[in-house]
Amino acid sequence: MGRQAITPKSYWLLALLVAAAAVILLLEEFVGAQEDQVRFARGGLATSNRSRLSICVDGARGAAVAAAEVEAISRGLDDLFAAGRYSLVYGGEHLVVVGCPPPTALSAVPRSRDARHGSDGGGVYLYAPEGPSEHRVFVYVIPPDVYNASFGSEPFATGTAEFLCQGHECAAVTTSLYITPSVAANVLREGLLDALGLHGRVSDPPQDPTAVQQQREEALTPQPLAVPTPAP
Amino acid sequence: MPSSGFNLFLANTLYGHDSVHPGDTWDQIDGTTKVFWVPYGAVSNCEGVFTTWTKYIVKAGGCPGGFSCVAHFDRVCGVTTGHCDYLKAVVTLNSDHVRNFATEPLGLPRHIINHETGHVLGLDDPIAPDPVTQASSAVISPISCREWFFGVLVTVQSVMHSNYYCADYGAVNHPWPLVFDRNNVIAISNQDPN
Repeated sequence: MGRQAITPKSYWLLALLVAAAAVILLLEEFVGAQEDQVRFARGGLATSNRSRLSICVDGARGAAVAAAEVEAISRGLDDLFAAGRYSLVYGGEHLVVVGCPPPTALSAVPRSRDARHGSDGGGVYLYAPEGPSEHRVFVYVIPPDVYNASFGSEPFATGTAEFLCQGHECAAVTTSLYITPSVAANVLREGLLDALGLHGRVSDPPQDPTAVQQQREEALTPQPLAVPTPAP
Repeated sequence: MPSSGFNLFLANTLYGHDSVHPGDTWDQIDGTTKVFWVPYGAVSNCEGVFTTWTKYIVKAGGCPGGFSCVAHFDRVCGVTTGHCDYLKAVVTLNSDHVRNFATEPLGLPRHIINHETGHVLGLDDPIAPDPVTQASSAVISPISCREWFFGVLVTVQSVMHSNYYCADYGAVNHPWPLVFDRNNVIAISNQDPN
């Protein structure tokens, strides 16, 4: 059997095959990217890229984090989870590591808790392909004078460190917790509970339903048009 | 204090039950105060619930990409249910999206407010034109523009299915949440942390 000549038709066929292969590769890349994209998750970990509760600890603004502080935080977390009370939210595994991204909620003047957690509180906004940290909480140990300037007399302070965004919907998924060196164990416990969203109910005081209804009706009442005063 | 302009439009959209479309707001969706809006400065009369609020901002250019958007924060979890949710939200409305609120009472401004409020209450955008197996981030929410109904793909009509996502599949910008949407929010609220 003699050798078959390569005709222009063969070249076209080859080009078509190469193009088809390229399209398939591109599609796989796209589908893969979609599957890899970090999404919101329902449990305490908040995002799909976290498989266990991880908390990082770091010093900031001149404070170094000591081994004893890391140990205290680790022990505080162990104590919290010892009774298994929070395992339904965070699973059974948790760890503390040293090293966090830079803090975002330190400011020259104290701001309210809502301001630090809110949409313009300094938290980083992450859109795909960027994903959030593997750590659910960033703990920062900062010098007392820096702490007082940013948070006043609050025993501990929390804020939003990262917002994850899907399309036009963003949600706080990483919390920062600020403490001073040698923080008391009970304060640390409260801080961890707050940062992990485990504080339980905080209720508004009950108000007279009639008064509430009146406020709603007033807000629904159009403002009367201003009538110009007739000239004398 | 009586309201004027956009504040009045917003109040009517959230809890007005006004003459344009009575009874179709998110407010009191199951006949109770499960979703119950009160103006800024008032406090809830629902004893035992979380302190929670939603703030609406009108901003030129809106959010990145020119969208109107929602930011949820203050995440809390129920230790007996394992369910987590957000107590607070800021809705940023692109001023271009709500500019014509006075002349288009059933147009884009009303749709945008109710769509973003749907996010506040736990609903998702659709993530695909047709049914997919991928889990949605919301507890209960239609995640595709169309769903199977007796062997036929039909468009899911929802205030969350904006033209932007589902126009090719026959969706319209519904000005108000539909019964389907409100039932989903009731189901979500029944999973509240405690």
